[in-house]
Parts: sequence; C-alpha cells; structure tokens
Amino acid sequence: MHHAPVRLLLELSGRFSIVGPLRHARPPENRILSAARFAAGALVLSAPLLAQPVITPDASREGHRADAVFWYTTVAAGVAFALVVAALTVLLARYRRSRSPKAAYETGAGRGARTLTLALAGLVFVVIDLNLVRMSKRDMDQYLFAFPSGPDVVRVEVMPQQWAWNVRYPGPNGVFGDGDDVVALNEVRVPVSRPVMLNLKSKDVVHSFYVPNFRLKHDANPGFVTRAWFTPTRTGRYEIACSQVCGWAHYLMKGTLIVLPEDEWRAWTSDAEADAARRFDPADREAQWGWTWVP
Amino acid sequence: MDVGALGRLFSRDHKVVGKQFLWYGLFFLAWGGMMAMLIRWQLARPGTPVPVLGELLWPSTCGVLPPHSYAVFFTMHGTIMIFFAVSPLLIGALGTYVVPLAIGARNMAFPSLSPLSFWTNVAAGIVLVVSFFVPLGSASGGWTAYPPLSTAVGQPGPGQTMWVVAILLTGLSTLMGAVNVLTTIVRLRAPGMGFFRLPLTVWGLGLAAVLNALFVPVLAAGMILLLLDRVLGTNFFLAGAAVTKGGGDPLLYQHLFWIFGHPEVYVLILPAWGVVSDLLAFFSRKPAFGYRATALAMSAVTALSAAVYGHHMFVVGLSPLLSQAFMTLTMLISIPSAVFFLNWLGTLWKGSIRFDVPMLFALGVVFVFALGGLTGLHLGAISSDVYLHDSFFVVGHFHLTMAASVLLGAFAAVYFWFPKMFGKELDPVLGRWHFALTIVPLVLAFTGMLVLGYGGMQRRLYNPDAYEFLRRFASTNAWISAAAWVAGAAQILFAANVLTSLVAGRKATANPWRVGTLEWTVASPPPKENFESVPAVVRGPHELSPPDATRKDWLAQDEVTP
Repeated sequence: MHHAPVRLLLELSGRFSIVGPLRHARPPENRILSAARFAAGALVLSAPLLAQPVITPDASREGHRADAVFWYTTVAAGVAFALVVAALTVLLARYRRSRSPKAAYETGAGRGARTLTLALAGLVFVVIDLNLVRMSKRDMDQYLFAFPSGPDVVRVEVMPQQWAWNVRYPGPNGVFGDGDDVVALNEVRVPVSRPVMLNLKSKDVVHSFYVPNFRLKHDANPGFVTRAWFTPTRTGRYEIACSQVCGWAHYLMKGTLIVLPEDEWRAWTSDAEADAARRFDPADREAQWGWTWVP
Repeated sequence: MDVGALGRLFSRDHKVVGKQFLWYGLFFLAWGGMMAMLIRWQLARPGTPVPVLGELLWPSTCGVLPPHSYAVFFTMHGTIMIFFAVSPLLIGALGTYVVPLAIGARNMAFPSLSPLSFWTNVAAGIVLVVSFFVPLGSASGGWTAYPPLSTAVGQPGPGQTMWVVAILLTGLSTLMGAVNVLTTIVRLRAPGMGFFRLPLTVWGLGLAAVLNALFVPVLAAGMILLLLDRVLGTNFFLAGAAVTKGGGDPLLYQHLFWIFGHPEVYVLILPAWGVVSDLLAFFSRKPAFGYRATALAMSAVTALSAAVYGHHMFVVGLSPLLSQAFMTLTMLISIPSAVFFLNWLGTLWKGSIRFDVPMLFALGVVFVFALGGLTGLHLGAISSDVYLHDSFFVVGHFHLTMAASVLLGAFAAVYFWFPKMFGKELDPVLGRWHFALTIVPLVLAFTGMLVLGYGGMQRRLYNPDAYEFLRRFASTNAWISAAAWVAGAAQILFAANVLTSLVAGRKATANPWRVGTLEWTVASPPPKENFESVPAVVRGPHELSPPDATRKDWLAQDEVTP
C-alpha cells in the first residue's frame, strides 16, 4: 500500500485525468470505494493539524473579536470555495469532450446572463463583504480605536530597539519621564482584568508589538507614538514577538508579558518603584527615553 | 540590414525581444526558486546544515544558513520573483511577443523601445546579481524595503544601494514596455479590430500596462528619495535616534510603496486572468462567456487597484477614517472579481472541454485563484487583519494569488504559445506530469502557510524554534517544505520538455489548437513581418462552434464567410 500523500496524488490523477487519459467506465462500487479512500487520504494528511489547536488560547477580553471575524470569513469563504469546486467538478465532468462532443454557442452576452452574474456577485458582496465591513466597523468603534481612560487603566510606554523591548511605567506620581519611572527590559508586567494601554514608539527602525494570545499587533515607528490596548483575563506568561522585520536578529526579538493577580502586581510595582528611586541617575540620559503620555 | 549575432541581440523585432524576455524571466525564475528552496530548508530543519550547497556557500558555519543570509534570501526571493521573473515572463515576453500578432500589427509601436526596455532590464539584473558579491552582501530588509531599516542606519554596505538602483532600472524598463504596449494596442490594431474584439489576454496586458505607466513612477519617487537618504545623507525617511538633521517620516515611504505595491499585484495577475479567460474559451470550444463583462470587470479592478492600498497598513497607526475607507474600498473588489470568475465557470458550461496541457494550467489558475482570492477577505477585514498582518497567512494568501495563480497562468501561456514562438510542439505527457507535480504541492505548501499564519507564525522569521508558541508547527513546516521541494524539482520536467522540444520536438502546424485569433492565422513561427497583408478583422476572438461554421468548429478573426 502507498503512503497517504502518494495515494492522494494517485486518486487525484485518476479522478481528474491530470496525468493520463480519463478512465470513464469505472464501476460504481469502485467509484465509491475510491472516493472513500480519497477522503481517508485527506484526513490522514491533515491529522497532525487536527490533533492540537492551531491558534494560541485567547487570554484577553478583546481577542474573541478577531477570532469571530476570522471564523465568519473562513466559514463564508469556505462555503463559497466549496460551491466553486463543486461547480467546477460538475462542469468538467459533464461537459468534457467525450460526454459533450459539440459545444453550444452560448456567449453569455444576453441580459439574463448579465443579471444572473451581477446578482450572484452582489449576493457574495452583501453576505460576505458587507458583513465583514460591519463587524470590523463595530470592532473599531468598540475596541481598536476606543482607547480606555480613567484611573483603572494601566499605562505602559514601550520603546523597541534592535533587538529588545524597553518598557516604562509612570511611577508613583503617574507622570512619564520625570525621574521616578520604573523601567524594564523585555518584560511587561500587568495586572489581570484591568485595561492595559500601550504607547509605542521605536528607537531605530520599524518594529511591531505582537502578542498572539491577545490577538494584539501594532507597529512601533520611530518619530511618532502609536497606541494599542488590551484587557488580560488570565494570569500567566505570554510571549511578545516582533512581527515587522527589523534586521538579521529579528527572530530573537522576544519579550514576555506577565499577567499577575492584582495584589501581586501591586507588590511588584511598589518594590520596583522603590528600586527605581534608589537607582535613578540624572546623568544617565540614555535611560530617560520616556515621552509625554498620549491618551 | 544586419542579420549578424549582434544585430539579433539588439533586434527591433518584437518576436525576438519577446523570446529574450522569456529566457531572461526563466533564468531568474530558477534563481528565485532556488532561494525559496533554501528558505524552506531553514524553516523545516532550523539550524541544520544545508545539504550539498551549504558547505560551499557557508563554510564558516559548517553549512548552516546564517540569519543574515536568510534575510538576504527572503528579500531577494521576493524582489527577483516579482520584478525579474514574473514581470519579464508575463509583461515582457507575453506583452512583447503576443500583442502585435494578436492585434494584427507588424511590430510594436516603438520598435526601438523593445530592445531598449529589455537591455535596461538586463542592466538591472546585472546590478542585482553583482549585489550578492559585495561586502556585507545584498539587500536584506525585505522586498518592501521599509526605512529606516533600508537606509544606511539598518543596511550599511553597498548591497541595499545596488538593490535600489536595480529597482530604478527595472522600473525604467517596465515603464518603456508599458508605454510601448499601450501605444501598440491603441494605435496599431488591424482594421476592424475594435477594443471589444481584442483577445482578453490583450485586455489583461493592456490594463497591466496602464497600471505600470501610472504607478511605477510613484515607486521610482520613493526609490529616488531612499537613494538620496542612503547616498547623500538626506533625512526624508529617517526619524528617531538615527536623525542627523531635521528628520523625516518613515511612513511616507510606506504610502509611496503601497500606492505602487498594490497595483503591482494586479499588474502581475491581470495578464494571467486574460490568458485564462481566453484559454477556457478556446479549450471549451465556446466563446468566452460574458466577454464584455469580463473585460469591464478587469477594468474595474484596475480602476480600484490604487484606491485600496491602505489595507497593507492597517497596523501602522492610520486614522480610523482612513482605515475604514480603505477596508470598504478593498471589499468592493469582490464584485468585479466575482463577475469574471462566474464568467469563467459560464465559459465551461455547455462546452466541449479538451484537457490539453494549456487548459490544465488554466483550470489550475481557476482553482488556485479561488482559494487565494477568498483568503484575501480575512486580510481586508481590519478585525482579523490585525492578528494576521505580517504573518504566514499573508504569505500563503499572496503566494496563492501572486505566485501560484500567476505562475500557472504563465505556464499556461508558455504551453499555449510555445508552438507559435518556436515552431515546435512541447511534449504533452511531460506537460501533464509537470502540471500535476506543480499544482498539488503548491496548493499543499501555500494552504499549509495559511494554517501557520492562523497559528500566529510571523513571516520573515529565521528560526521558529525561538518562540514557544511556534514549536508545535515543526511538522507542519516540514511537510510544507517537502511539498515546496517537490514543486521545485518538478520544474526540471519543464526545463527538459522545453529543451528536448527545441532540439527534437515535432514541428508545429500554423494552428495546432484550432482557434481563431490572428497569431494563429500565420505560420509557426511567424514570418519577419508577421502578416503578408494586414488582416481585416470581422469578428471577435472566440468564435468557436458558431452555428454558421460547417467545415470546422472555429472561425478566424479575419476569415470571410460566404
């Protein structure tokens, strides 16, 4: 017996006459059997994928929005694709030369064909595209551009550089860049269940702050501040990756986002603030990279 | 006149220049493909020595592909495939060879511009090839070359500068080609050859030329500013710590790049759409269903192309208004795309379908483009694009559309016009194997990349093992690579087919596919002046199985019926 991929290839070739003349008079039981084998082959091929979840678990209050739009699109596009493949298969089988020796002179230039085509295209547009626009607009209004404000919001400035993440908290007085800030490298600590707002600005080239578990991605450009936010719902450690190519060590530009229970985060913050006050050196200009917060 | 070797090299005959573009494009296709194979080795077996080639290329790392070379490879793979392989094959070879023959002209409108365009492209290619051998290597900031990474701050050394020069030169070549094709189509159509009697291939090539003429200059503007930043120390695209005076805006470059960049993807796909529209009709022995609607739908996509470019920039920090406008405009493209796609299916309906090799490739485009086009929806919607942006989902999507669809379209064109170009037939059995061993692994590899992207894997990543959340994709990456290597190896069949056919192939008749467009009314290969007398066109390009034809099932465009 052949391996599944090989069998899949063989089946494909037999069914669609890719590599040889069409085999027409295949007895029906054979056809069913081969269809079953075809399906089994496809399953075996995709088994490693189905065995475990492909996407990382969502650990944020907002992440489900991207997932929902992704799956709406996938199902809708999947149905459209299945219809296309079904139509293609039927047309190719039904109108192949041996079954349809003479073509009909159909130009499709009449009003009927034109209306049908436009109607189908319109249907696709309304069912898929307009819904995507609607859902995305809703997410833009309620999440992507609806930046949180208020005393509850945890504010963090992130300045990536080749190839690390500089992190800054405003310190006890709540103002960035005035000497009492807490700074960190490659680690962002935040409390669970509170909105976290980021100000991003790059030191050198374009980077992109990417946390797969929060479905969060935003470019950090040199020269101006961009904003992003999220609300972690589960404590734990999550990987921060750079998703915009930024030089040969791009792949090593990794950080960790640590979501702590509220009390642990408060304890860490007061420790870090005391530490920052002790270590502050006004002469060390390199360490004072903070900017005026952009709400 | 001169017929020596030198004269042939700089020939003004569009047929000679078209063939030159063909060989040139195939050479770079092989080069760009080799780099893809090496990229896939690193992703399948990160940090292990590349077999055979590794020891030769990187003795200092015992044959392991180093991260900097990896960056050069993904940069140059994209650059070469887009500007030096696909463009020369479809725009250069097809545009220069087929257009005059198909519209009943004796040559291009500006015969001297054809060799000038080709040799400017060769100059660009030489600069690009030499850049691999300069200190610090060639460009490594991605084919998009975003500053500041692409300025001297991120890319010291002459490689990136040479890359910019090569893009400027190839842009100049493309611009000359576009002006030439466009003028030829507008001015040199044979009497009776109205715009709505042109083969759809010519429509696709003409629309691609419009886009090139409009938007290559925008790219050139960006490239010239980047060159000034690199060479003269200006700060157009610099900001942040690297600024020495004043400071500019790196985002300006991204706007300039994508105003060109999005139309560019249509430049590549439009000729393929045109070829597929024609071939489906020819091999179904039917007129192209909804011919006018297809031509107009392709024009509508062309008109929309630059108005949607912002969807490449959803995570850079655009305003909500701009983001929403670009998203909505992007979604509009669905309508014309659905129209011509449905027309393709309509062409097959009630046909008498022949599965010749060009038709197999054309049907392959229909299948692959459906997959690629539909996955574009995920990226057009802002909500899902934020997660998928710069991931392998993007790579899978544009490889299904720009790589697989376009390449299958180019192969369809080569298999279809090869007998006309060289007067020899390609072997159909080898052709079928080439098709099967190309499309199956390509679809597997690129849909696998969609899965990786959904799983969160970033593109342009040297070593996925660096991230915990990507380790579970080791086997996925391995089988994607295996598929890619099968597809790569299958191209040997194509090369063998072309070479053996040229040397010992069966002589092709004037009209082996029995179709009616003008190039098939003359000998294979056509005489120097193409047509003895300029044909008078009396009908459209796909008059197949017309009710009034009795002796044969097609009517040539200039055939006079009693």
